[in-house]
Amino acid sequence: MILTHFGIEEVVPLFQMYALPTTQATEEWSVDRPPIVAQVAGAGGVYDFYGLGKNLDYSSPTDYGTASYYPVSSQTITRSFTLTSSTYSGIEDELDELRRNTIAFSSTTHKESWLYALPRNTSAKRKARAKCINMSRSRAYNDGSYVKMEVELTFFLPEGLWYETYPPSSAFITGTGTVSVSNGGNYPALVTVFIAAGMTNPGVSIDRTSSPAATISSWVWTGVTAGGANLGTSLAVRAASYSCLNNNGTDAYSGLAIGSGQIAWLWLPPTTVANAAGGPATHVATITASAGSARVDLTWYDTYIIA
Amino acid sequence: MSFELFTVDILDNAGAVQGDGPLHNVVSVSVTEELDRAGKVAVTVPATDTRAIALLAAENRLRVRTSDGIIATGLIENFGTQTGPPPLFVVSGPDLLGELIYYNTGYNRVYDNLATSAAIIGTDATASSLLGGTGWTQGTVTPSRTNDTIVFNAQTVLQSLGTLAQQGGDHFRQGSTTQTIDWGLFGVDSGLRITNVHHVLNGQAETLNMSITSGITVNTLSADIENRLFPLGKNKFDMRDASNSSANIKVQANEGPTGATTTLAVGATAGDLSITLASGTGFIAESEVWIGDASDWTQPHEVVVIESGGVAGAVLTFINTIQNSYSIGADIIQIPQFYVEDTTSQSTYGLRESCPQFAWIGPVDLSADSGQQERAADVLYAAVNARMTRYKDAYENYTLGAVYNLPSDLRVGQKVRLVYKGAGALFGGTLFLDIDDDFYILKIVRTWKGSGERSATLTIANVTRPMPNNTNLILYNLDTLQWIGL
Repeated sequence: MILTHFGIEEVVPLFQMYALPTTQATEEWSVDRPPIVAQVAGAGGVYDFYGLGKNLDYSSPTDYGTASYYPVSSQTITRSFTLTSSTYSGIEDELDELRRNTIAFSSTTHKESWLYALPRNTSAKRKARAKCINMSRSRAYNDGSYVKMEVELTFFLPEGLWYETYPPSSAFITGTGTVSVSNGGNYPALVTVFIAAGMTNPGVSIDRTSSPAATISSWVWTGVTAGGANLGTSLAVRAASYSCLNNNGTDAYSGLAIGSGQIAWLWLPPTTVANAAGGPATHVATITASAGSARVDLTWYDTYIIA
Repeated sequence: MSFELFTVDILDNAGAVQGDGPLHNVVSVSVTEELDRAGKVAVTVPATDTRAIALLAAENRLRVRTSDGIIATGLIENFGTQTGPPPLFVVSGPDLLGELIYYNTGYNRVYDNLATSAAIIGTDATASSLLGGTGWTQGTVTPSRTNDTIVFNAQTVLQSLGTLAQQGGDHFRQGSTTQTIDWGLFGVDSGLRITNVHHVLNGQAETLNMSITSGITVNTLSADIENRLFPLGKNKFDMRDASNSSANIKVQANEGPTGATTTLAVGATAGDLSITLASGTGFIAESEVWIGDASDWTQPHEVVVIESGGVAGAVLTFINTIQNSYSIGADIIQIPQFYVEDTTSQSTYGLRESCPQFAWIGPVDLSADSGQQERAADVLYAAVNARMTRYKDAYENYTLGAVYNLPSDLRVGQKVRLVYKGAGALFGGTLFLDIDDDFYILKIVRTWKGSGERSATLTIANVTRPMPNNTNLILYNLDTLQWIGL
């Protein structure tokens, strides 16, 4: 995996993002899932607060919960490369462009900056919310052919998670029933659900289909979905941001009931989490309602932990 | 574009800025707001900052302005140091509500059936009001009682506001502008949801009306229930003279050997000097007797004193004639006790009796106005009902530590929705909590650090009752000692 671009929201074509220089580029990646433990006085070993069977919010090892493994911490990535130019003035120009797009980056039109990376075994990039928190450089020097300068950038990823690039994965169904959903990442993906107007008391669950069949996460909303015709203007439940809106953006959280024991509202485990039979787990989204029929759209970004 | 998170000015007690600018090198600032109490403002600076040390004198005040629009002024009262590295100098004191400790009601300060807002709370310009001459005025003031009767003796103005609020079931806090006070039942839903999350993600910061908490401590899960309350005021004043509008008052006989209960065997007419009882057992000459419907206060009722009769026969003769007519079956209760109760709470928790004392409540002047007894009894009724509202259910009090993204306009007295699923601290141990409910905000502590970090700590409870601590328990018991003459 190598970093490729840094800049604003990914719906903008990538050429508008800053392409990180590639000359003599090296990177250092690391990811932490620090254990949360307590030393028990007088006893060997430590008490591990996380892990199957000791989950605070899940009691069954067939459930994939936030507590089934240690929490993911934020991530720091450093990238070193060499700027080159035929003149010292040219190096300064390169440096200006680098500073403007990394350590001095800001935007009055977008709220977040993103880092893009490319796995070496696929053409599909990954993206992560990131900030450039450090830039260091050497003195410029002439090696006889070019003027060069070694630069190191440090990026801070507060979430510690990577996502597939825009557009997100999606599935839809009209009315009640089931629809296949799949997370190609290696970490649970948070699912956003849009339900058009006209459905009463809709419920959504993410279910593993077999070995054993089980509900992973679910919610039910009490009320009638209402609002405009465009996607997201009626009921919009965004698990990532803990947001529940209905009827053109009106807060509708009071009608939402989350499944027992859940902290995350709705998430989709990766298919790489094996089922009890040893094969990849397959999942469906099950839609229920007490009345009415409307289009239900589910979107998510395949989610990764990447080192 | 300024990235300053906060500035701290030093003012003199007239409000004039001291020094040639705000303090430099402020390490942290915290502003505490608390319901029905003065809050606190604290500033931490390096102990080597001689300019700050010179300005932070006891006669001066702190004014904090933050980038999220909060302005708080504190009186400088406490100085402390924290050893390094680096060594720090901590200056703190009450917020501006603390000024009201400097003014006193004196003694025999009487408000007799006067407008609560205009005459009793009043403003700086209304000399006879509590705020008269203090420099304070009203913000949003909506008392639950239009008129009130109360006597203050030797209370600070701040204490007197607390007593008046307690009497009517109201609350107070600083208003939105300097030296103004807000007053009312409060409890308006702020629309804010406070939740723990499974993973902190950038998008959560954009969700309107949501704050994230990283930890919860259970302060009290108390079954300190009161659902049958026998209130007493000054000099054992009780609710016997309350008007019909105090409709939920009930009556029972003293449960000791001198209590006796029976019913009328023969109808009685106003002006009669004697009545005929279904049973005379236990009725003693010179005892008080209550006549009426013990479960319906709105029916005619009165208290009379027995001259003769009782145990030896079924006829009671009174010292004075009765004022009302009564039908057969009316309740006759000797040595009556007057109470209020909540039967729903009794079904849930069982019967929990208490005798709360409101030592300041009683008739203002018996000779001045025949309505004094009734008004004072109605005040006692309002006060005990307000107490029952807060004590009829189990008390839950939580501290939410490290709350992020808290709206700057959130105030104590408002309600928030807490959604917390996870581990919480309880008496040094850990408990799994599953909470999804509305709570009152009792206290907010906001902290800004020079590094840019901002966080808040909230104390919330299911009813607007302060968490028991040594101070308020002592004060409550001192009231009791005063009543019984010690």
